[in-house]
Amino acid sequence: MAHPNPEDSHGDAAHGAHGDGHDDLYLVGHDGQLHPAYLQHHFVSAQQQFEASKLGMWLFLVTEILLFGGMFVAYSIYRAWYPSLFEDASLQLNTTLGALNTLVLLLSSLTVAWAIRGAQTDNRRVLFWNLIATVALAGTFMVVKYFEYEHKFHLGIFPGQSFEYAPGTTRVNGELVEGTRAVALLPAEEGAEHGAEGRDGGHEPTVGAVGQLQPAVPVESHDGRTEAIVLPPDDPGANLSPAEHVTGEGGTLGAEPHEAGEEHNEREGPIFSDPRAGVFFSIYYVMTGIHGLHVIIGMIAISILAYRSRKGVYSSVYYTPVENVGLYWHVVDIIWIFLFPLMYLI
Amino acid sequence: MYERTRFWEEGASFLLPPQGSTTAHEIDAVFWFITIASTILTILVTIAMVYFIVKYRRKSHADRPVLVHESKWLEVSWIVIPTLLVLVVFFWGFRAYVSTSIPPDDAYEISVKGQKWLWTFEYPNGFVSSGEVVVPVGQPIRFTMTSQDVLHSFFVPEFRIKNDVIPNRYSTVWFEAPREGIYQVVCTEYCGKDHSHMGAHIRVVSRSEFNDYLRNPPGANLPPAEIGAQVWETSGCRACHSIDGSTSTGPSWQGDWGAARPGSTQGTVNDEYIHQSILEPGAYITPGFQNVMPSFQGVLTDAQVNGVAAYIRVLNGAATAADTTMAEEAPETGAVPGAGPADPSQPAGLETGN
Amino acid sequence: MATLAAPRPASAPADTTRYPAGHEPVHNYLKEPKGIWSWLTTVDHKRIGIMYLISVATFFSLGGILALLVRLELFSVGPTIMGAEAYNRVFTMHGVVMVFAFIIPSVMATLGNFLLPLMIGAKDVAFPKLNLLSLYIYWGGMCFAIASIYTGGVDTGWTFYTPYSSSTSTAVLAMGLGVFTAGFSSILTGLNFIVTIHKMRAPGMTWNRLPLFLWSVYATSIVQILATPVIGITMLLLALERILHIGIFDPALGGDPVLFQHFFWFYSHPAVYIMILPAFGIISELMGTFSRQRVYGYRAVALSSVAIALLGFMVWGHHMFTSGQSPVSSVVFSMITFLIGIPSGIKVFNWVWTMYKGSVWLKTPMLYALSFLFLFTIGGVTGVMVGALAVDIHLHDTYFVVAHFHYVMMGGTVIAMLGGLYYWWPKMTGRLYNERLGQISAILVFFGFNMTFLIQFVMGSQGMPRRYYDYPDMPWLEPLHRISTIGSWILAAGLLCTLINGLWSLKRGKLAPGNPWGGATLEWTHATSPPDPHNFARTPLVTHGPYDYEVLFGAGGDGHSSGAPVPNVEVGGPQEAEKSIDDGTRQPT
Repeated sequence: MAHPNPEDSHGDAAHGAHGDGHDDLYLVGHDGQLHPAYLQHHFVSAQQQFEASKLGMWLFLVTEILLFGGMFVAYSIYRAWYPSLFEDASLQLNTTLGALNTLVLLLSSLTVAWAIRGAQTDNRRVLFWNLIATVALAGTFMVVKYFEYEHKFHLGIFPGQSFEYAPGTTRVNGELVEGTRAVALLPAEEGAEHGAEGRDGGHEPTVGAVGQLQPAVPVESHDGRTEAIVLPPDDPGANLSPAEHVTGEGGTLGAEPHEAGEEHNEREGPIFSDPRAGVFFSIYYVMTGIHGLHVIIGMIAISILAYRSRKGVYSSVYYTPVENVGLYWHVVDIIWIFLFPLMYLI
Repeated sequence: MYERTRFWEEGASFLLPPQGSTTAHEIDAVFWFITIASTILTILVTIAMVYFIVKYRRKSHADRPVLVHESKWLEVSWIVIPTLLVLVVFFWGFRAYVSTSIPPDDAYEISVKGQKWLWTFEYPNGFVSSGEVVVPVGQPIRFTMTSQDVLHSFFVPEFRIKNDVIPNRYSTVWFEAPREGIYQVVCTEYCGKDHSHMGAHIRVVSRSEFNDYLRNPPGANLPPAEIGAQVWETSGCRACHSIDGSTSTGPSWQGDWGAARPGSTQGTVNDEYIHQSILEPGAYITPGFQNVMPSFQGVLTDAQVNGVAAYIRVLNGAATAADTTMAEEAPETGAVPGAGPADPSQPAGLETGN
Repeated sequence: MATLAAPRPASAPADTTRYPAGHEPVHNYLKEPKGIWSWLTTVDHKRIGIMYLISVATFFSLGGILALLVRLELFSVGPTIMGAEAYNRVFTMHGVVMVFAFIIPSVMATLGNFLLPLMIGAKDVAFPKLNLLSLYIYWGGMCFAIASIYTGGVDTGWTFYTPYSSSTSTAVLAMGLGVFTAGFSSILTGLNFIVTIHKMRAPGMTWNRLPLFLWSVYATSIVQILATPVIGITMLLLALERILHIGIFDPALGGDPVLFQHFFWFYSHPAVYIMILPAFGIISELMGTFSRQRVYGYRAVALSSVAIALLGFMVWGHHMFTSGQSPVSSVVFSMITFLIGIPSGIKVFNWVWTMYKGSVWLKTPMLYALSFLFLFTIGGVTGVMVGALAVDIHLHDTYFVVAHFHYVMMGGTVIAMLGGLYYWWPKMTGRLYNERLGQISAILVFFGFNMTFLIQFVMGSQGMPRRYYDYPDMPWLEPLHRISTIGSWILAAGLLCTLINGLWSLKRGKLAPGNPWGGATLEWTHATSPPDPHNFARTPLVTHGPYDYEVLFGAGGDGHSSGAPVPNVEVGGPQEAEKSIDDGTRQPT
């Protein structure tokens, strides 16, 4: 027998009667023997191929966990540095929608596991429809996510440098609302008044975020007061860096000193005033963004599985891809299970 | 221009610079121990290699492998002995690290700012100098450092001190120099174009000289043009501006006076233009150059800024009489625009007898 | 039953048209299938390995030229051939190209890909198509890198420290994307190799009979899959910082530039073990074969690879002793750094002792292996020096560190890789290289390398900082810089000799026998030179360890090759039944 080109497709096809009840295609390989069509030529046996595939997928998932792990580490560090900022910012996320998404993903894990069971028991209908259900649930997740993002963009919460609240956004009874413009000075930290006085230029910005090394020399300060931040109401594009707003001229444009509790619809809380609140949302967008990307990739993979299961490729003899994609999907779900409480609940 | 002349004295060797600080010898001791131990180890390995190569050289391709019994004791010994050596080195290094990184309580504090591409030093009384810092001999000095832009690192090879200089944070180094002299500072964290030209000098002088220095900072009793020359030399200007006409990061001061500056408010290089260039360099960029000059607001005194203008005039042959004669009144001591007067409650120098 | 008449290559007349009798491979992976398209779409691990080899060799040459330019600029105080901005880009690109385009894939993707299935008796790796995808991804990453170079390159140093890297106007984004992409190539290769070693070993190949090269490959693969995702996320965050200013590393926005260093080194320290562990594996093979003696302390060498891989994740902070991290963490990192030097030392001692009562054969691969032992020892002990806290304060970010890492990366990995290339060249190409030219190259490289880098230890401890375009504050160092530059020319000459040798041998080298060196691992005893596209006709049955050179003297053995027949599919008729296995797929006759 001529030595066939290893890159060619396998030799002649033959239908085998192998006693396993399957009408699968068996092919004649280079060495003159029959082997199942799904067995790749470099593997000695189907068992070896199955075990190798599973090990490979598990290793890949370990790398995925490390990828997200880096982001979780960044989150933990910043949370430790700016706890009140993070708490306040997480209040802006819609917990109901987040919980809904969690439920959706959990359900999709169930359906994908069910689909694997269908393959294992040669039940093509169960396999196919559960795969479809998984895709549908994943789609639901993305749609809900879309609405969440859209709401935030509406309020001006963009990642990174573009972070700002749209002018006039206030918190009314705990809800963020775009509405009439409100201007306020923040009460300064230690009970002093407003920082509406003019300042000379040339001073260093107040250094020392929570957790930073303490200055070894007294920083040139303005008699120990922290600065209040002023948001000029007519300047929607204002995006002051900390350095700027400490030394900023331009005064207060006629704002009144704030008295605590005066009006409900005044801005309150550090996230309206501290541009560093953008850090929370940046981490939020990066993590949920990368997670969303993984959901989309999973959707595509599961759709391909569904299509192929229609053609009868998977059976109790060979369902490795279904199992592996299912594993991937479970990890995507688990990552969300961690994301949700960290971002939304605490 | 400072040229190091000490090469072989004060603990220096082929491998190490002179020991300019009181703690350098501790670090050098660990260094030498590891170096010598490592050299011995390398030599032993090499000898073993050469011996085996010679003794067991292949005689013919029919050489059959000889059975060698693996000795557990040999394996154990070359695990245990290096481990012990390594632990000794670790503890010694750790102790030296602890003792050399904690500044004494009576350290005299100077605040240091690193920026692209120069170092600025601020004394407790408010006096600021850049490019050079003068400190008294035999007195622990602590530098508290921060960066104005990117990461830098403050390294004095002869003192064996180093620490990164980070924006929005403070880091410290300390030293006590037992001998007078000039010591080189270099930046050791890559920071861009002129990273290799970001040196500074530490001038160690006697206490009385130091006290005089603080009371009468340089340039106090000099003609403006000489003050300007000094500023060029020691305040970082020379890193980017030449005085011989050659183009560098910034325009050369030679040929500059009266040169046209199209588009600027002043139109040509005059006094006002020079003042603005020093205090607000970003306001106008000479065509053909980049906007990389840092501002010297708060860094140079009025006298120094005037001196630069005078010096430029001298370089261009346009000097006036006022440029080259001493001012009638002594300028304000330590005055830095915008910083307020030097705080009189702070000692201008060190008490003698400290 | 084909018998072997294997003439010694040295005594046979130079024959470039015919293989030694009995050694002709019937099917040569280099020639079948034909055509460039078949190469670009191959799933054959050997072809993929060769394509990687061509790619990394190209990038090594690019990085080398950049290095020569760096050294040329430093020849004299003051500008020599370029200005500061150009220099900053040149040294950065030298680092980036050498680290990410050359040395990280180097041994694993070239020799690892080629040898792994051959050494364990498999037909291919576990996921051949994934292997091809790895290659494509690597090329994709390199396209980004080339795009970055084309638009002026990067000037941040290969470490991309923020805030400089988040604010400079050079092509950081393209380069970061290149690194990000190439990282996936690394991950998939590692994944492939772990599964292959776990699941596809030939019968009889227990873990204790695994060649030490494969133990190293295994340990490296573990590091690759665990560490590389972290550089991925780091580059992604850097890109987002530049594009969106998310503020994670920017102090003005509340971020922390030192956090970047932690992220970066958490990958980049294990990365250096990715660089050196496969090199260790090569040295094991070379020392065994060219001493014709079992590698002393097999178990110690094997397990020390794994120990280094794991400990390597816990020492990243030793790059940051002066960064402002807490002294407590510095102490812990220093302690573990010292401990990680021990397994490396164990290996060196075991390799040297391998020659004891051996039969040492000083061919080119062995010359490189011996160079490695000397150079890596120096690199290793100087690593201990910079790991010592007090001393590192003085040496950090000086030329001392530059010399240290060149000793381990170049004096270690590159030298070992060259030795491995010379060793496996007959297997990969079916040709013998010119031995005299090889020996000349080994000597030139050794001498040139030491001249270039030994003096840099002195420069560093005298206070010369790294990444310096010029040294106006230390002009007395000029003679030392000159010595270093001249050394770099000698080093380049030696490397050029290797390149010439390789090209020459492809055209005019003698055709090689199956086992010119007398190795006892499967690629030498059971595969032709070059191998069949399928590697083996039948799955080999492993009955001896990888360094049991006694097998070369078995029935029919001649000291060079074992008595096993050259396993062509068709030479001499049906294969001996006892050398093949029945794996259940054979049709009953």
